[in-house]
Amino acid sequence: MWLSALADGDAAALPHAAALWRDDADARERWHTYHLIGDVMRSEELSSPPGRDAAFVARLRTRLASEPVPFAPAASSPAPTAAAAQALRAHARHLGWRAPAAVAAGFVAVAVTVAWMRPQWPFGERGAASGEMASLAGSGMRAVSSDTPDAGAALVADGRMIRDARLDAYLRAHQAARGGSPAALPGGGLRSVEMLVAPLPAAAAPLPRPASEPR
Amino acid sequence: MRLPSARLWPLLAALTAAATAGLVPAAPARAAGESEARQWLVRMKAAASGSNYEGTLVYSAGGVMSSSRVWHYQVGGQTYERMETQDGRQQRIYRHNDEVRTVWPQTRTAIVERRETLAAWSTTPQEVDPRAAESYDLKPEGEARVAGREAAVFLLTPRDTLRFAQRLWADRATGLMLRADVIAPDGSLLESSAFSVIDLGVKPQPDTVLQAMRLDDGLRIVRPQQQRTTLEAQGWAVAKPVQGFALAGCVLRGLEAGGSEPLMLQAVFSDGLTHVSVFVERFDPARHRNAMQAKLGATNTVMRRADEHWLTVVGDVPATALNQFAEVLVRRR
Repeated sequence: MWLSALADGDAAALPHAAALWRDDADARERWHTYHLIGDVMRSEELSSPPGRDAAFVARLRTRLASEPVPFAPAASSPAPTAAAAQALRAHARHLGWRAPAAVAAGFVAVAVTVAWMRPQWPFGERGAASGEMASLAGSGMRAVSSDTPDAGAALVADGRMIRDARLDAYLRAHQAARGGSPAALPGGGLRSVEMLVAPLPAAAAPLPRPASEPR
Repeated sequence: MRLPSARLWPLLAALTAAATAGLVPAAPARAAGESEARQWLVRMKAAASGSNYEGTLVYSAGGVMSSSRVWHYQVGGQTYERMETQDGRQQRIYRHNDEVRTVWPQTRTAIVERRETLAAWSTTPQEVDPRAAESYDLKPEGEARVAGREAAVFLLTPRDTLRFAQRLWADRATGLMLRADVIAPDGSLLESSAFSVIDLGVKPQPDTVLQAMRLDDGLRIVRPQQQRTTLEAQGWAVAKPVQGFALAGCVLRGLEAGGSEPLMLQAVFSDGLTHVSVFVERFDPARHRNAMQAKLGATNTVMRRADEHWLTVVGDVPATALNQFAEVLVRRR
């Protein structure tokens, strides 16, 4: 009775049915048969030898037993990649109670898009910077955890992204160190790194201040 | 790809044939190939500086492509160069020897600076830095056709994990580099710079460059400060040098985006083919927030704190190498 109530979707029957299922082998067989009939009625493909289900349950049991007990109230913010998740967990072990905060911070660090790109200029054509950020979350951004916990998450740019003015400046200075080397040598060519001069009225990007009087 | 032409590499062909016949060990064939490749690199460098050419250079990295037109003239020992982006925001770079003017016409902004060449810093100016051979294996790979011209292909494989492999295409007729690919350790392409159109032996027009460099009308001009210096003068020393990289020079500079910031030290290390910059500045909690790593194409950047200083390391090398560079400098006073 409890089993059929549970099969009909009655949640209140769950504790009783679960206890019955655990204790009574007959009940287990009836449960299995009931569902097998339902599956086969829906589709012939769903019929399978009985041993398969039993093996599945056994495997599930062993997997559940080996699952570590979470000590933080669920790392609920999903880490973007398995690698990042592992790194965050490793980091969290050191932090103890600060683990949830670390997880959240890690996720935020990943969500912040800091990247630069070659001469494409997104702002004028696409509009608000925040809109750009939102569209990027889905497109080709990949977080890679670094070796040293201090270094933060690495960001891999796959497409048009927001630029960071200071990062641009360092890249320019680095390219400038090639000095007067011509374009047609390895490492040459116009890897233009643009200063972030935003056309939006509320833009936070600094305009370049002249170091001396223009002549 | 066609087989190497017998006219061009007779020694290599003969030795390779002998090696496969088992009469001669393979080592001399490889050595002959290496010295041929090294000669090609010399030709490449000479052609890049010495020829007159104009063309369209396409740069692609991580799915992003941008092209720019390039004009390069060599007249009477003076070099004139002009580059204009074809995609996205307009940017033009004019160069006359060491003086470089970068103009953004849409925002009426220009940066005027003097960029000293890396070669000027090293004590023995060489056409091809022999140190590159210590860090890379040179291997000719046959022939290919790029931008309508026949080219010889070379692969430079790094001898360690601190740098990327590069594949270079050199024009058979003049030696000019037509294409360069930077390849990740797993064989994937990190970035590529290739001429899609090129005209060699054009009539030089240095006036187009000189006139553009004199034009100040309505432009906001930024002159970033820079001066050459030495590590010792700034109170630093190289503690743990990174394998294959030697210090090429130091500059005390400001970043042009913020003209009033204190100057920072830029130490440049080179392995003969690629270079890495280490920027050192005083740690400022307001400006220096999070340590981070970033990457686009082949260029990696690492930013992190080192006691009272903030380090930014930039280079076309793997991020693990950049982390080693962050440990290179040590404070002496």
